[in-house]
Amino acid sequence: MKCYACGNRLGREDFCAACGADVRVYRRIISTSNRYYNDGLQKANVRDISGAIISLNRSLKYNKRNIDARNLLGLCYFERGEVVPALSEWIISKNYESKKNIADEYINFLQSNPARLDTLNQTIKKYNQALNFCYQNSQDLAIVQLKKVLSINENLIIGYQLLALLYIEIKDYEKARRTLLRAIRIDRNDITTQRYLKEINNLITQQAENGETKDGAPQLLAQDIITYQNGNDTIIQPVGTKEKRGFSSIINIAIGLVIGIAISWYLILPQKITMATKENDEKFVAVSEELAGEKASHQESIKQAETLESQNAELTRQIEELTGTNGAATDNDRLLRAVTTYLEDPAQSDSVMEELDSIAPDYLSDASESFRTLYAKMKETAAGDALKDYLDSAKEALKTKDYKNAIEYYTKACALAPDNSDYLMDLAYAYRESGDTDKAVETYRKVIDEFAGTQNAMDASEYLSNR
Amino acid sequence: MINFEEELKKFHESMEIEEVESAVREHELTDMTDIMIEMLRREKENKEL
Repeated sequence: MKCYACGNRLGREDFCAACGADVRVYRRIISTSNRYYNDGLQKANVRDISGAIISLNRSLKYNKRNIDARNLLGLCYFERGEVVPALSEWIISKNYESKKNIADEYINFLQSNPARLDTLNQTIKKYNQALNFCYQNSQDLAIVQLKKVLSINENLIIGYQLLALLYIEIKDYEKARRTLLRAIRIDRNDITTQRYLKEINNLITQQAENGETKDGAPQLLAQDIITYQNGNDTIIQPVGTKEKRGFSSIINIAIGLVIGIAISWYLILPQKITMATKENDEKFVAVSEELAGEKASHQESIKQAETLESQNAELTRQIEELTGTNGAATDNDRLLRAVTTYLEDPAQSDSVMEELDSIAPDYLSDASESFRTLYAKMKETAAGDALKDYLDSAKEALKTKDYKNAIEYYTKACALAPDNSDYLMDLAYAYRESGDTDKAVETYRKVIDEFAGTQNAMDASEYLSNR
Repeated sequence: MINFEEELKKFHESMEIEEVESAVREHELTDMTDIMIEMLRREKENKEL
């Protein structure tokens, strides 16, 4: 465990050995987060995915950097067929811990196959479409769409729940029950699934007691069925009935033969047709996936070409800047102008300094030795004169109460002589007189911080305390 | 008894893959540790004043 204040590794003490911070409460928070993570892990192990999600979210409320909890939360979402929340958790996890993080593998698993990612996205779109069909009272279309979704994304719990709800609406309770049992196999304790299942069991029992059936089959009376509970399931079973006797065995054999021939005629042929159709469907799916992959690869190539083009344009621009072919002044020109200005009139130190200051520091660090020597020499020569000019101008401006110019010149003087606290004090005075108290206080504080123990620092403190 | 219309209101549209970025950005990431550090900072400021 690391200290929240300085990041140092903590020992057994209730305080950080490096910075002295009290870590008792922090330790308790981390411990609670870990406890919730363990709880979530145990629940996930027994397929209580909903319970695990609640525990893991609580764990992250205590410690958002609990990487294991966040990765497991992403896995739980993924297990429930919810790809986007899963990806979000893994991306956040990777952001907190970029090295040796299993979230990397999960993200790569999804992103390495664009066709799979595209298929998952299609299922999300189809689910949303099915939901819209429900709102438009087109239950049949919604059921067809949801069946397609669940054939591709077999773990989409909300899909099963919506499909079961639709079956309940059209009073096909047995299908609703089977759908919910598939959802239960993925997430045992989802409250919505459990609630629907309980309701369906009640409805089926009630239907059996009333003797109602959906398909018009012979009605069962309450005394004709046995109902009992097996775990979460309610088993409904008719009381055993005896076979009718009295038909002659010959008639039975004849009927059996006729049925056998009919089955061969009507079942084997359609099965062969179905097999051929299925084979064609599989080929179609394979070709579709290949096409989707090719499409993604093509788009990737276009993106790469665009990136290379923009890089090329940027490099061309940089070359033009460096060679001066675009008409803009280069840093070489600036140094030459500074030297020329100084040779023509050494008193124009202000212009010389402006030219020198306009040379980019990045360019300077990469420039040749002779360039840097000439730059340093010019700056040293011009700086002394410029400082004097700035101070004279600043004092003149103060005399005429032109505080704006006084501030400008003292700021320049401070930049040239950062180790002189007198100029800073004068600058603070100019701010004060100009009415900019905030900047004056800031400058006085700078004097106190950077020149502690000097007379100027004491004067600055006095001003701040008397303010 | 399950009311279809009422139950339907509990289902919401799923986020699509393109919306991952906004999902990450809108994620509430303040935890107890942040709150504790903020409280300690305020307490320290009050003491200094």
